[in-house]
Parts: sequence; C-alpha cells; structure tokens
Amino acid sequence: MPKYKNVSGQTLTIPGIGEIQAGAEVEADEINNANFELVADEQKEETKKDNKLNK
Amino acid sequence: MQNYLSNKSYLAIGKQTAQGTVIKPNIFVPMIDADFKTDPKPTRVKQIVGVNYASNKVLQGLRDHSGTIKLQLDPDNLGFLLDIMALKGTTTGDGTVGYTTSFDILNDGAFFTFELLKGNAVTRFMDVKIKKLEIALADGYLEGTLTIVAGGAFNTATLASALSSSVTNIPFDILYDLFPANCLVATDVIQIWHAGTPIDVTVSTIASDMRSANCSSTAVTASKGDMISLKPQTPSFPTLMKPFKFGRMLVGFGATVAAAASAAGAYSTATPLDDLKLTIDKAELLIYASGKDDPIVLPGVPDGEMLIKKLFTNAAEAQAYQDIAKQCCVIVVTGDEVSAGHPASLTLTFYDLKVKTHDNKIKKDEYVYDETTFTLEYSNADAKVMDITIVNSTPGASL
Repeated sequence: MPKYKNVSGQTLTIPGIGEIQAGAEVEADEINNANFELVADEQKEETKKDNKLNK
Repeated sequence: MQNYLSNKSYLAIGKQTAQGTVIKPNIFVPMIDADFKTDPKPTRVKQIVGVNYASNKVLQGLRDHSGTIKLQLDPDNLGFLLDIMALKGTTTGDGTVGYTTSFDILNDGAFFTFELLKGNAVTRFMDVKIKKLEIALADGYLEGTLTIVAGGAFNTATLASALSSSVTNIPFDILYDLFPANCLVATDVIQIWHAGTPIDVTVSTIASDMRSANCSSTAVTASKGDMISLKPQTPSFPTLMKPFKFGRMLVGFGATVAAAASAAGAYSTATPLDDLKLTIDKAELLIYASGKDDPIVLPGVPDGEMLIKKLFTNAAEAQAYQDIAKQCCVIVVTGDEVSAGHPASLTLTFYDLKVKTHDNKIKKDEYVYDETTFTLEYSNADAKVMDITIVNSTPGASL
C-alpha cells in the first residue's frame, strides 16, 4: 500500500483514517489531497539497487 | 447503482494569489449545508416557426455561479471568511497566545477558490467572493449564512475526440465553454467516464488556450463525448476549534466607542441580548463583458445592518429611534483556548449605529422586549464603520 506524507505543517484528521501529525506518513490506498505527498517506494528502490549489485 | 449521502460531501477553500488564478483548495471547512451552483440560465427562444407550440429552441443565457453556504462560525473558519470579505491586516502573535488579525471591511479581501463535493463529482468555483455574511444565533452558537458569488466554475466537461492507447493530452469540447479547462490546475486528478467506469488522469499542466489538459503518458480508452469530471479530494481537517458561543458574548452600548468598550468589559455592565443578527453586505457586482461567458466579479458598495432583541427596561431605545441618536456598540465573544490562559476571541466595534426600526410588542404571557434594527453608518469623525478583530489558532502567514 502506498505511503503519503503530511506536508501541511499542521496535524490533520482524515475521515476513516484518523489523525496524522505534521510531517508524519500514513499508508492508504489513495490520498488525493494537496496537503499530502506520495512518498517514493523505498522498498522497491532498495530491491532495484540489490539487483544491480548482484549482476 | 450507488447512492451518495450528503454527509460525505466536503467544502474546501484556498486563497488565490490574484483574481483569475485558480488554486487547488487545501483548507477543508465543516459546513451545515450548501446550495451553491452554476446556473447556465437556459433561455427558451420564442419564435414563430409554423407550429402551435411555445418554443423549439433553447440557448445559453448569461450564466452565473452563486448560492448560499451555512456553517457554524469558529475562530479559524471566520478568519478565512473575513479574509475573503475584507482587507486583512498584519497578523501578530503565535501559536501560544493566539494569532491576532484585524480586518478592514471598507476595503476588498482576497479571491478564493471553493470546491464542493456533490455525490461523486466535484464542482470547483474560482474568483469566489462572499457577497453577504449573515451572523445569527442557532442553538446557542454563532452561525453564518454566506451568499457567495464566483467568476467561473468547473462542473463537468466533455471529451472532444476519441482516445486509445497512451496519451499525454486530453482535449475538451468547447460546446459549452470556450475555456472548458479553466478552474483546473496541475496535480488535479480528472476522471474520464467511459462505459460507466472512471479513468483517472493526473493533470501536469493546463494548455494555455484552456481547451485541454496535459499529463504524463497515461493509458486511456475513451469515446468522443465521454464525460470528464474532477475527482474528489480526500478531505482532511485540522484540529477544529469550537464555534463561538452566545453565552460567552458580552455586548456594550455607549455614546462613544470607549464607553461601549468599557460596558462590554464585564457581565455586570454589558447588555444581555436575547437575540442578535448581523448582516454585512459587500454587494459585489457581476459584470458581463465581451470575450467571456462568465461574469467578472467587481467590488460593490458595502452596507450593514444589525438586529437585536433584549428585555425592555426603559424607553431609551424608543428615544434613540425618535431622535436618530448615534450609538456605539462593542461585541466581544470569547472562544476556545488557543493554549492555557489564552482564549480565541472575536471583537466587533461599531462606530455609528442608528435605529432603523423599533418595536415593543405586547403579547399575552410574554415579557416586553426592545426589538431594534440598526443600520451601520459610516462615522465621519472616526472615518470608520466597524472594526473586526479575530484571535485564533491559525497563523495568518499560511494564507
């Protein structure tokens, strides 16, 4: 499930998800909201690096 | 088939940098109800065409975007509303003592973008102004009814040509509007509805002619004429302050502002009111000019009125009515604490009130009341009509 980061500078509550502190990340199917940014998938990035090293 | 409860709707607002510059709203405001829409004003053409019937054609009229929104007034959302209606002064303070901002009602506020979720589709309004704000009491709390006007809106659009495989541009039909993508901005998610299924497309830019949206390569299969709507945002609310409460309102009257402020300083000297209704009318004008189907929102001539109801103690109000006597009034409403010992507040100062109507009705089994409507006059001596000051938890710099 993708992660989204609260970039608004204040604690926000999303109905159905709960409270997200400023700067904190939350997992959700989708958050279409100007106060949240999609976090790059770090797990996938690390897997790609490992695959390159092993070649 | 899915149905949609109004409870899951939202109102989102955002402050524009200038008239005509839309912003993706990011401030979600609780509301009680909303009736705010685009009226394309379809006009029936009544012409003689050899048929015994009223009309055989309907044309677009001069559309407008207007309506009302009702909401409880808390220190933060009232600050946003006043930012639309009046010139915002410098904000002082911090998150501990609260942020203090004064508003000048004689000058213009900012343009805002509003977004209203209706069912599963969003209507976005640009260049929004609050034409009139009515503050009244409901269930012991301050409630605001906003009469809103806007200079443009996005309701739905129509796909101009069929799409298949991957695309980087979504063309919009111009049958309804020459600038159908107006009100859309980068990062918006639009939905192209094909055979009842929405296809999400994230907007990267809007074309300069406002007739298409650009996107990164996206797989889309859709037919000419398919509907395009704006995908709802996921609402997010900050910590909400409680609305201003009637029981925490102190009202002072006096021949001068200083006397009225002194009277409003304590319960023992304040005037207990049974009811209050304040109307601030900014009277924005909608002007239709060549080149656009949407109106241009221009400042109007502001005016105001206040109705109060209080128990009759003597005939002083009747005398003021008769003599067209000047009165000053200060209203202080204390709200939630921003932090311990530092409450939010709303202070309204009226420099010249004149009685417009006055009644002392006699009804069996009821007390006698003064029911007085004041007009808010411009005080030549003070060069003011009213002062409005808010202390709240919202840093003004964020707007």
